[in-house]
Amino acid sequence: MLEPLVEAVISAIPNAVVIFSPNGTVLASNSKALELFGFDSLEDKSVDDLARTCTQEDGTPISSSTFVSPLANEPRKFMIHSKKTGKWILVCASPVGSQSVQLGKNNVGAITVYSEKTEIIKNLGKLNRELQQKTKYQLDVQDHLLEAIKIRDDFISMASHELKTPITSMKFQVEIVKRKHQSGQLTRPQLDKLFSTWGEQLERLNSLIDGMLDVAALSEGQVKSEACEMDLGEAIRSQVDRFYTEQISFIEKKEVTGFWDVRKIDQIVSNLLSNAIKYGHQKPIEVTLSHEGIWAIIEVTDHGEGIDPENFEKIFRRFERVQSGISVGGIGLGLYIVKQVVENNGGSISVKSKKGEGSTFTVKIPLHYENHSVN
Amino acid sequence: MKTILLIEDDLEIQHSLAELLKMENYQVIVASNGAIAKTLLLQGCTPDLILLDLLMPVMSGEEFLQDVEIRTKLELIPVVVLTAGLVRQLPKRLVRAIIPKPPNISEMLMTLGHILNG
Repeated sequence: MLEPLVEAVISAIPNAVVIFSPNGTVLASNSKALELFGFDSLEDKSVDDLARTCTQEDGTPISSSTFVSPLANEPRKFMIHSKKTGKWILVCASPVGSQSVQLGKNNVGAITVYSEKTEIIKNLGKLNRELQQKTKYQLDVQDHLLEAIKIRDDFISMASHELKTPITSMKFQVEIVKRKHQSGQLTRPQLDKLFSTWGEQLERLNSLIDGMLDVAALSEGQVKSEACEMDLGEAIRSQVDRFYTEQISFIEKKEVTGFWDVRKIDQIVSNLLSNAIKYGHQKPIEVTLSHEGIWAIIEVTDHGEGIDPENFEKIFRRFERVQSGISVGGIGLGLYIVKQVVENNGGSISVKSKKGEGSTFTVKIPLHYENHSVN
Repeated sequence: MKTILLIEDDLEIQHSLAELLKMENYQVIVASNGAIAKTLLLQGCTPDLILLDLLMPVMSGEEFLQDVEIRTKLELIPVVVLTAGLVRQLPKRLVRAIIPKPPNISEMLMTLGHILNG
């Protein structure tokens, strides 16, 4: 029997309390201790019985001497986890040490006081998970930004290279003409040829700048569609005519009318055609127009360079130009612009190609697309 | 008459620069990329100077400067790089000058004259 005072004191304490003898026998405990560790009674139990039901904070087994250490002088605090109740418990184990303290007839080894910290640990775990999620998000954002900066830097160097190239040849040509003019050697045919070359170079510069502006507008989401009913065949034909070449033939399988923004159609067709010309090895290019149900289908086929299947996805990315053996100008924006414009108008683009045999780009766009205001 | 090997893939630049150099009384040999120039050099072409573009298909200017077989030839031939891009690491020992595109034409001609006659 415990002394009534001791019993009254340990019952009155709001924490769980277990008193051990120096060899680890339970001398006294309160009801909160039973509840915390999930025992009906701790009578005749030892520290081993208690330790077996618990783990350390990291899940490893806990030794009995952690609770009752004959060598310890100082009170120690540590966290344990009860496997029986699933509770997290902060233990404060105070050794009685060399002083002889008796409870009834027995010597006291350690007085252990326990407080439950399950809520705090759970909240900590939750906070930790949230922090990890936020950190991951931040890292993703950082990667995204670094990627965006790299794309921008690549763009600037690519764009400046492409813009400087026609300027360089024009500068040489101006110097040549100046010299010939000064020495009276400039002939009429030479001058005519120069004017047409300069016209082409200026056109090249202008289309490079247009491409850059299109991309900038697409990224800023500023492109508004102004759709009206139109004849798609007519729009394609006017783009084909713009290229002034016998190389391109247009086959209108069916007359197709629908609601589109004519500028968008021009962007799609002109980019696909200039690509076909660039990589088409001067061989014939076929453009066909048909429709299936609600879809208008435009196909542009060349018989040139061709694309490796592994690059099918890559060619639609910004500033990508798949390395090829031929020298082509441009900054790799054409197909990116086409894909964005097609998708923003509810359509899709796909490519079929065989290396060395040419490529077919197929654009499917709905005859009538509701969401015209998106970029 | 000094001979310049012009390695440049853009045909407009190649033609106009070749014409301009001829007006300056240089003999000009052109190659549209590093690989064609390599063949010429290995066949015994010995220009007095190489004018080299960097961004070219098949064999770029950088690859040209790193090619072992070409490097043995370059011991005797000065190289001038002509580029519209950013100049990264180039072997300094081989490259005598870097001229930006578009160049200041009189400065460019002076640099070439200086290297060829100096």
